[in-house]
Amino acid sequence: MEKYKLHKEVKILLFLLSFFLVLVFASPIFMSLGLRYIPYSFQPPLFGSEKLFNEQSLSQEFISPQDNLTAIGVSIRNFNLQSKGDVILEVYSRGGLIRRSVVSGSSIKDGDIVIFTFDKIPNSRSVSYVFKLSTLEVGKEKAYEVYTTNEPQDFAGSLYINDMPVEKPISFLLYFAPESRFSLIYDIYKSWFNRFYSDYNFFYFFIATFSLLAILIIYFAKKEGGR
Amino acid sequence: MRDFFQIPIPRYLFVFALLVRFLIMPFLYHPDIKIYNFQSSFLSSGVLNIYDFLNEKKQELPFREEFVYQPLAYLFWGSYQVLIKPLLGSSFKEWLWDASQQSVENFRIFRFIFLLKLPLLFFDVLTAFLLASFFDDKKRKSRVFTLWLLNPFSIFIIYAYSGFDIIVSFLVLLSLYLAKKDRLVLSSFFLVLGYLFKAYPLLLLPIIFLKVNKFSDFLKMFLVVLATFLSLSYPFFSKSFISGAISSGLMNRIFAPSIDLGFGVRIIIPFLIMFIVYLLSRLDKRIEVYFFLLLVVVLSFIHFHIQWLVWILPLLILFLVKYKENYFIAVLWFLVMFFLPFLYDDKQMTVSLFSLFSRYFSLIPYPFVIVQKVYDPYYLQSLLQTASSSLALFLLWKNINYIKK
Repeated sequence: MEKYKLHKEVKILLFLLSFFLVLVFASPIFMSLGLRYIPYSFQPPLFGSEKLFNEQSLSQEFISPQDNLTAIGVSIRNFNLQSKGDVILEVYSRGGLIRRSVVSGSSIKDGDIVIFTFDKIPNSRSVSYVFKLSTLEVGKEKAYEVYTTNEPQDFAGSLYINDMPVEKPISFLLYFAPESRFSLIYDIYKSWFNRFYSDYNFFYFFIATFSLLAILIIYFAKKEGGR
Repeated sequence: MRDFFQIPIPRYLFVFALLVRFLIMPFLYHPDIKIYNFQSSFLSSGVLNIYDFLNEKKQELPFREEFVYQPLAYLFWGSYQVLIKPLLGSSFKEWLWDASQQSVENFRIFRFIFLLKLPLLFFDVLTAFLLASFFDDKKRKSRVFTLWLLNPFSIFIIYAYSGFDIIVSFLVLLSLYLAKKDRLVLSSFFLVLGYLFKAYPLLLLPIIFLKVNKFSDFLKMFLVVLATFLSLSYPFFSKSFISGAISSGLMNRIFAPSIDLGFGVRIIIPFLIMFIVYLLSRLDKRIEVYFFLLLVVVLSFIHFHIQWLVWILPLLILFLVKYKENYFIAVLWFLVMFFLPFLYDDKQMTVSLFSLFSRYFSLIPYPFVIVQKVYDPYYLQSLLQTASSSLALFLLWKNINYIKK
């Protein structure tokens, strides 16, 4: 084959394509900059729900498994987006209010996890807390429904409706601020690699094919040339 | 055949294009690939009418979506899964049935995603060869081949969003190729075959029909279309089939933008412009321009899914290589259309695509939420959609001027 001179258009495409590849594989670095908190575990399965309206609040006990607690997520039913009133989450420790977060009902999509964020609590590990969900503006006829679970995590305690204990706790998620950006990026790459390697047959197939293609590129480039 | 598979660019560029695809295939993930494979998996259990089955069993299934594609899509993906079953392993079914957040952490997910995307790779590469075969001269063969294989836009849309639109795009392109060779009956056959995966090739069928001059040819074509359609659709006919495959997705969206005349009557804007394109196509021999223009105007006037841009990409590249006059406008139109869906209120358009790197990424604020803090994202979407519609109309107007000359 005669020597092939790379057209300007091809050079632009090669640049864009290489940039795209870098962007994909460096995405954990860029995207981790936007991660303000990470969940401690998966959300427990949803099973049943409790109504939340101006005359009924829900108080959930829990023990924080880590330091730097900074958000709590719960699944809320807002059928047909009918309720617009604010939902308030308050965190109590030893009976005293320590954090408060408000989410507007207009941003609560039916069944979505609603994340209430607040300033991080630095020394939260092994401390008992209660988070209280309430709403002032929504009446019983348009009540929100907060999903509960029949398989609670070990750090979840009892749920109280207007201070009366009920059987099933809320299905909730705890979020913690990462210790440092570097450790977060390292953990993300490490976890990704470990998961990829755990299917080692596919992993070795992938590496072998990648190497073969790379060798072919070098071989053909040397043979056919390109400027 | 040997000529068809001749690589018109240096082989290292071709292998590089393959390498890029290979590298990203297992790592970018959109849940659509799981949904349509979950639904198609019932073929191996002996379910033929998937529309009725899903409707009846909705409450028992982890994914309750209707099957919104055409019957051949079900048969294709169902058969493909049977073919690669030994490679997928026993945990594949378990993963398909897992609707929880944990499913992205399945230890075999990279293998599943890679294998399920292989047919996309096959048709993607085949599209490059088919595009090259539209030209006789070496220079344009090489250009069209490069533009297809080395552009990151098609790679991103095909392998990140993982719809099987590339299969339909290939069939549409094949139909166009045959139409250019005046083999109109065969051309219409491949369009219907495409339709039996996804509905959009049906919009292009009138362009082929309008090229026929003799009534006997028209009749022959009509019979081929009808026979192909009925042979693969008839076993699926039911109420659920109509609500799932016929009245959803594209077809619903295409009827939405309209001018109300009162008394319950509307002028449907995409159809209005489509009819103009059909009439213009009768006056001109360049079928590829009308395939391209029709999809350009339809997508510009509806709320579209980013995957649908794969319908246009091969035609756009063909258009760019053949007709240099409208290069800038056509590229600008595509770029507006490409970036517009990133502003949708849907994290699966952007941040969630990277959830196989880390499930935490679905927690990152996505463009809609970021824009919402400073501006109304719907207003911005409307501005971009208006810009793309204007550019589409401008391309149409330029084409009318071309015919006048």
